[in-house]
Amino acid sequence: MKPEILVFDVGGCEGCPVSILREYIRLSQKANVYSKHLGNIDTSRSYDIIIVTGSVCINDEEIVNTLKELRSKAKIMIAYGSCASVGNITLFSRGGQEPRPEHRTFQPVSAVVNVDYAIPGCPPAPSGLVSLVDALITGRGPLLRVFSAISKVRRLSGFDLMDEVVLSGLCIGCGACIVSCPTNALHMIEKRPDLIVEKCIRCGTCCSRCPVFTRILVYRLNPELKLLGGGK
Amino acid sequence: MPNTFKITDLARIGGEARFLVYHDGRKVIDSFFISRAPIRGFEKLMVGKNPIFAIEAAMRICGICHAAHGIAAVEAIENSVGIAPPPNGIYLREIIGLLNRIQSHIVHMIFITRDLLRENMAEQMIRREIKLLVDVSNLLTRFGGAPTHPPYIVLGGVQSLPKERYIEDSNKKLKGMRDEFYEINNIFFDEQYWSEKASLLSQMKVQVKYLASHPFYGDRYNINVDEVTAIRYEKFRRKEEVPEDVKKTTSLIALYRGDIVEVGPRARLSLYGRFKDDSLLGIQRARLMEIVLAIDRILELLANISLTEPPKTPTIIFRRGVGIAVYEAPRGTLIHNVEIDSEGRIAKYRIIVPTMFNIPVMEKASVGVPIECADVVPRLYDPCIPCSTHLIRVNNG
Repeated sequence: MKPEILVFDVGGCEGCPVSILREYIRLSQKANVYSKHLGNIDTSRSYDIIIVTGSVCINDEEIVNTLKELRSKAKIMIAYGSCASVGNITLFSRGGQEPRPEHRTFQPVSAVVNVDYAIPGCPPAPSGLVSLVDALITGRGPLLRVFSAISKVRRLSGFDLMDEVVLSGLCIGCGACIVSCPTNALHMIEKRPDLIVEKCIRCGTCCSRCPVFTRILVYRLNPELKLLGGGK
Repeated sequence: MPNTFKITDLARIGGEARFLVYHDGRKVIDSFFISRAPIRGFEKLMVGKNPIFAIEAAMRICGICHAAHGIAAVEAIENSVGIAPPPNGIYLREIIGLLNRIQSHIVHMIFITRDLLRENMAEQMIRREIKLLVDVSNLLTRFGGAPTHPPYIVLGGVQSLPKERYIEDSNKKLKGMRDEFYEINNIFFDEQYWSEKASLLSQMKVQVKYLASHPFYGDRYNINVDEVTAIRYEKFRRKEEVPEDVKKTTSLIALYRGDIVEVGPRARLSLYGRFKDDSLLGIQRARLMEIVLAIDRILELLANISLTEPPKTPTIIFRRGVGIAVYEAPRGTLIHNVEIDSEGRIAKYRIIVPTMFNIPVMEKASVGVPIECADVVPRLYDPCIPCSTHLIRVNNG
């Protein structure tokens, strides 16, 4: 039987759910997909996987409660995109804007509920989500440990990449971070990445693509894997 | 105010919104559009930041009309510091913006197809539209650097020139897409394929003024930005009792010269072309026509690109200044207004988005519509909630 997947946005830019729409045909071959964009959403029932996009405005009680309720209905919860995974640019929000100046603080989904996997990207390549769903069904795949480890951290950015990998002398100069950066904030100088700080939006995509950083995260956090069918 | 009402959580739109409809059992008497997405507050978020960061931020206001916000942001900042891109930069920016317009219109088609076409046609059509969405997103990756939030939109022009073989190949792909859209338009315009809702909506009319600044790009000299007013919902509806739910809305309302104005595809084609269709389905007809026109325009622009000329201006010096940009986003007229301080940082940033103009139009258009079609009316106007929640008061109105 195909797993049941709900895609739910808690207040992002909609770029992530629209990117999932691009892979709808492939995804629907592996799972039954429900989302607001498809017009078949039902938040009253349980799902095998709930994919959450957007960061959480912790000043909005209704959104916080909705998210907690969704968590109770999901066997596996995936934070999809940088806002849901690590906060992204919304971490800079400071409120004070009409007509709801009280909306001051935005945080990743993991600040409110336990998340099983997180895929940073602004937005991520939706093919990565299809691969993750595949891996959750089969229990195999290199992405599981990486995305599970990322779900346990609340911040990732080009600054972390510089501190943990480049300035620590661990960079192998593969250039994966540069190719993955959605704002072109990283460039290569003498086979070492350099960060253009004013362009870094704290999306953490570079960290999640860096072969060294991902190994560090998996080693440090030693994440448990939750899979479909077999429980943990 | 009659006490029979219905609240619908609007599905198949960009973002979180509700539509509160008062009715007499048969038809809509009054309606209220309520945005539910939280306010991330981009205008406040940008204050104190480097303009380069502000461009990246502006592009992330919306994941559907991302390039429109990016282009409006760079134009406003360029205007404030007094620089202009070279011809290649201008052509490529327009191409990126138009690809985003096509992308956004296709996303909307995916949302609205189930309302307008017969059930047996809809599923097949949606799959066709998704394929086109993938194709246009691939083209945007070539010219803009990414299918969403294209990073090649930079101050002074565009980051890099496309490869020669990409231009040739894109020409072919665009012509193929145009043929596909002609076929799709024929299906959408053919009454035999229409759903019952589509037939009903084609007989309903809405008469409002139109506002647009340019058919393809945007021109700040074609509208008077000082006459745009943004007000809170309660003030807009001050003569009536605004229901409690509506007070929770996260959007403001925009007016031009104190009037409700429709912005978007129909406004552009009516003011800069000979389009005439004031039925509720007219806006959809205009949107579909715009896709074909946008492809033709991109083909024209591609022919103008010179691969031996630079795509951006080499010197950018930030200084104190005020800049404004008016751009025609997929949903209509978008205004970015920036003030840069003496240290070259953002001092003030203000944005007016098209959905704010269209909210009162949707509400007016829904009056008299059979209640079973009520939720289709806002969907026809393609409201964009992530955008509409990012607006601060410009004039006190």
